[in-house]
Amino acid sequence: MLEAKFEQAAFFKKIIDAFKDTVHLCNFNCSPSGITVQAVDDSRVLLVSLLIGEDSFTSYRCDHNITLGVDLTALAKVLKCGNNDDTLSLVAEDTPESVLIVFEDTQKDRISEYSLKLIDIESDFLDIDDIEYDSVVNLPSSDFQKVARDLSQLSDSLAIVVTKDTIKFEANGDIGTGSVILKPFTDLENPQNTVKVELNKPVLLSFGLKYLLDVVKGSSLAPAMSVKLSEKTPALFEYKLPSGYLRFYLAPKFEEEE
Amino acid sequence: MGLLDKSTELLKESLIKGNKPFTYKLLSRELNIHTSDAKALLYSFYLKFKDEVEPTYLLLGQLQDSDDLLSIKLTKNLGDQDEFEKLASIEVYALAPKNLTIDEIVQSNVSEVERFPLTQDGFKQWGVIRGPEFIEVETIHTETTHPIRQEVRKPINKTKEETSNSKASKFDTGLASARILEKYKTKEKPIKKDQPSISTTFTSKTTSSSNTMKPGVTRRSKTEPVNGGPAELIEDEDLNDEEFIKKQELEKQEKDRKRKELESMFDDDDGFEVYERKGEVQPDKPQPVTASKHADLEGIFDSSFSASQSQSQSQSQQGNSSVKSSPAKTNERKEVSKEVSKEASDSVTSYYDEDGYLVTKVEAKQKSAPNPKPRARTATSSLESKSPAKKAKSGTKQSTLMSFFGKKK
Repeated sequence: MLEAKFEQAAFFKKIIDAFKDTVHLCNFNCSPSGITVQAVDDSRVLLVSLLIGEDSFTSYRCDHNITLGVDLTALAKVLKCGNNDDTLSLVAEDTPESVLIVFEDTQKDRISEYSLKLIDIESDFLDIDDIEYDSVVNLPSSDFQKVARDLSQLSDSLAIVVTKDTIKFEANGDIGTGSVILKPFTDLENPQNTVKVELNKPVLLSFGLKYLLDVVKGSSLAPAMSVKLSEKTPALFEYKLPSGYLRFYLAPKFEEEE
Repeated sequence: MGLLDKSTELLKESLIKGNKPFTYKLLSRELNIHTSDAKALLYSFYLKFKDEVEPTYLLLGQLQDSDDLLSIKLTKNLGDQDEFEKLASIEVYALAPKNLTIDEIVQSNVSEVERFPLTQDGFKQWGVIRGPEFIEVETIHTETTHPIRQEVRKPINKTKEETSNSKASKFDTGLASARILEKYKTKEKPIKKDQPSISTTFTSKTTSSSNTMKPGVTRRSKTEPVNGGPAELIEDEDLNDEEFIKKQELEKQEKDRKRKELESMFDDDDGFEVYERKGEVQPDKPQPVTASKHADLEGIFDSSFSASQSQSQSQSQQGNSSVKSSPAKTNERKEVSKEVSKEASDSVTSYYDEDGYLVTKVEAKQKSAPNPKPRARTATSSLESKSPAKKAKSGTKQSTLMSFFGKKK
């Protein structure tokens, strides 16, 4: 039996909105410690890894491990039916055929229940090792979102160059070139505005902007994000949740000779 | 803004934004407060931003197994106080961004502190101790002592003045001529205010040059060696002016050339026409127009136009271009003056003996010859090819995650 209750439906909505365009079908693996999702997009370039920790819920109960195979488009439709301030509960049996989504408006005493059919999804669970990255950049997620959106106008690839004191984003397309340089910056009053670079080795990597535009959809989840980069390794884009995270692993682009 | 706010602002600026250490001494000088207050302010800042900055402490006391009554130790680790048998005081020496060594911290602010000259008011305000017995102690710990600094400082100020005067003094000691001195002085000044002076000389020269240009005698006479130092200097100046006049002329010619070029696009047999014009009309423009026109149009109408050129003209062009190519490697100023003299003699001999406009004809070629456009284009293209984004764009291939992560079972 699963009973998981979010204080605000908006939180779960934001999570689903952050990756529903990346993957359409995915398994929600519910365990006593929380809910995890791992899913790869159709082209197998972008991987989503989600952990909603037990503490993210106002009440959480999961007796056994339960897998909920969900069509995210359908789930998003259902989630739209609830108000942002409503509480949201996910309820499922031990071997469920559907999941019950309950919105409660405590002020108006209104309860809305939706049952979403589950589907069997065969998916490979990828083994992701803990990697020590060459450079870790912490920056405001809105900044990264703007960079990706702006430069996507010019090209379909984005080069990220991280050196000791700069992070350079560069796009070179048919209509022209564009680059954005960010420099480390500490804001004591608003730590989420801080741009920080931890560097073991300078890095130059290129990524498909199509995928980065999917990654930046997580910006609404956290004001700050971290980008972890290593040569010839998938980059890790992480948005921290109050208890848990939403991570995107994005495979880089390589020179064709390689 | 209160003192605390001021100091916090200052320290934030230096430590957190600038990533530079800040010693009590510099803070005391910056805010014009006593060093003890500066230390207190440093400590209060440290308490606020413990995560961002690292303090360096000054431990004073008697070390264990030491005969010295007073020793000072700079340390980042307060545990070092165990080394002291009697500890007199612990003070904050400096705040610094993390991972800086003490040596770096000590040396970092020295030059900035020296910006503040020590005055009597300063002694009182900052609490600088001048007692002779303290000098020794401070020098042990690489802090430059104030009395010594004061002595050093004055010569530094003086040396600046001296260096500024040194140029003049050099002239005095060298040729020892009042006139030469004046020359040097006047020569230094025009570098800055050359625009107005040149324009005035230009206007005066143009009026005179319009009369003197044709014979070309004045030009040749100026290139002739002249005896005597002062005379040489004057000649240099004149040559500079002449260069400007030539530049102006070249600009005019260039404009005319472009206009003529457009007109001549419709001419079929311009080779003969040009010669007729040269013979008939004195005006300086037509000849340069033809010369440069051919050079430019060669690129556009390769075979047809070059065929219409007369042989003698092409020979003269070749001769001139070879003259041009050799001095091009030397510096530009020399190049101009040398070319003028060489080309003048070349062109005069080949076509018109007494016509000064042949000289201008050669100059017109000069202008058309260094055609920078193609170079600029190639340069930019090579630069572009080096940018990483270009690389990324040109031949990149999207990899998949499956080549990095294995399936879990």
